[in-house]
Amino acid sequence: MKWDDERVDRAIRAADPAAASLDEGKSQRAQLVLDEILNGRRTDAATRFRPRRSSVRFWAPAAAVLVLVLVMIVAVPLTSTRAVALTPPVLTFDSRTGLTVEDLVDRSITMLSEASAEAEPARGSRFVGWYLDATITDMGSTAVISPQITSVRWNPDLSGRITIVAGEPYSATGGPLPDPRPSGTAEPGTVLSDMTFEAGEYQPLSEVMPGDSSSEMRSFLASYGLPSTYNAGDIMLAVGGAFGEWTLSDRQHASILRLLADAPGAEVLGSGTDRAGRRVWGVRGIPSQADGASSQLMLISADTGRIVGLETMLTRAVEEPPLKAGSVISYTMWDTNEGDLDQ
Amino acid sequence: MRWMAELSVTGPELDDLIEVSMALDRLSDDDRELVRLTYWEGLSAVEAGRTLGLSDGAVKVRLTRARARLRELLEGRRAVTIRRGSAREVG
Repeated sequence: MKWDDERVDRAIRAADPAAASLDEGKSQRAQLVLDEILNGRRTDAATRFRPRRSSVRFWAPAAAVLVLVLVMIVAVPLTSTRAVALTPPVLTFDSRTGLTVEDLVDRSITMLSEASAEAEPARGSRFVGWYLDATITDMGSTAVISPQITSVRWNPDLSGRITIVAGEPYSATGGPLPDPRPSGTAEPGTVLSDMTFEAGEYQPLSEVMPGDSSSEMRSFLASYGLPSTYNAGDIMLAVGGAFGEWTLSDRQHASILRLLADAPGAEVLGSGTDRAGRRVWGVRGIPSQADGASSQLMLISADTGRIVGLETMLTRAVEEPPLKAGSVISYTMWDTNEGDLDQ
Repeated sequence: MRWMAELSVTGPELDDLIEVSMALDRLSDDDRELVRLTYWEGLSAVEAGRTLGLSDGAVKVRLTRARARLRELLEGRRAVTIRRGSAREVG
């Protein structure tokens, strides 16, 4: 089930250490206050409500709940399900090119240096991600993948707007969509979220327009979680964050690729086609932060040299949900055109 | 082949509670305090802002972003859960 705002709000309130002591009236008033803050709906009840509690251990419930769950896991009977296709199909690559990372980066940088567009980075991003709705039962399983197109635009005064629009849903197995569709599956083109920020309200992790050099790119990516000692996978993770807020210039892409070539742990998978039908090269890295359990796949356009995609895959099988090693658990694409967004 | 379905037996509400508690723990101290004041203590934006030394507008922005960050973490939690899991063939 998707984590929409309502579900997040409900879960946060449920995590309140003193939730059990709140009467229903107080809960309703608390909701009104939240509505005022988050949605701009102001009510008298919201402004009057001032419950106070003191000296509550803030994060105690997490541990308590975890113990409860562990007990429940031991106590329950097993259910049987089979490992099924719950996630998007894995991209395949032709490794016969025999390219090294250095070769690939050199080729890409050559293309980037010959391009004439995008001399400056842009504040904002447009990218395609996805949301999975899976149902697993003893009788069978369905998994619907719903692409989402996110557009972020922000200004030097830190005003901005973020919109999320539903793409065309598809079955993880490649077959027809289940009928009826899962409740969370929106029609293509549905605006799932449209948020406007007034001046000063948008807060990117790096609001200063980054420079072009590799050292400037390294500093820029540090704002997005790149540790001081990093490998290729760490760069990929940081790129995923940075590209959600900025659309970088070709020169900046080139600098990131140089960082990638100089970092340990980059493995060229070969050439292939991404989920938008574009010719790409795939480079894999395992972030140091991920405990070796997932890998990152960076997709570099074979036509422009730009970084156009990032995917996360499991490096080992897991139990719940039942997923095989190699399953794709996340993907994001950038530089997409309108016609590319069906997947 | 049989698999132990851990999450399904705990119930969706309990799963949410676990995941959101762990996600809250990954917020910054400031954002956790903001969540505490607004979601749990029921303070208005002005009141929370007064407590934290912020304008009510800044409170709204930070709370919106904190919730967005939580959503991000919670969506990511699926991956985190997966990462921490291990396949166990039980029958």
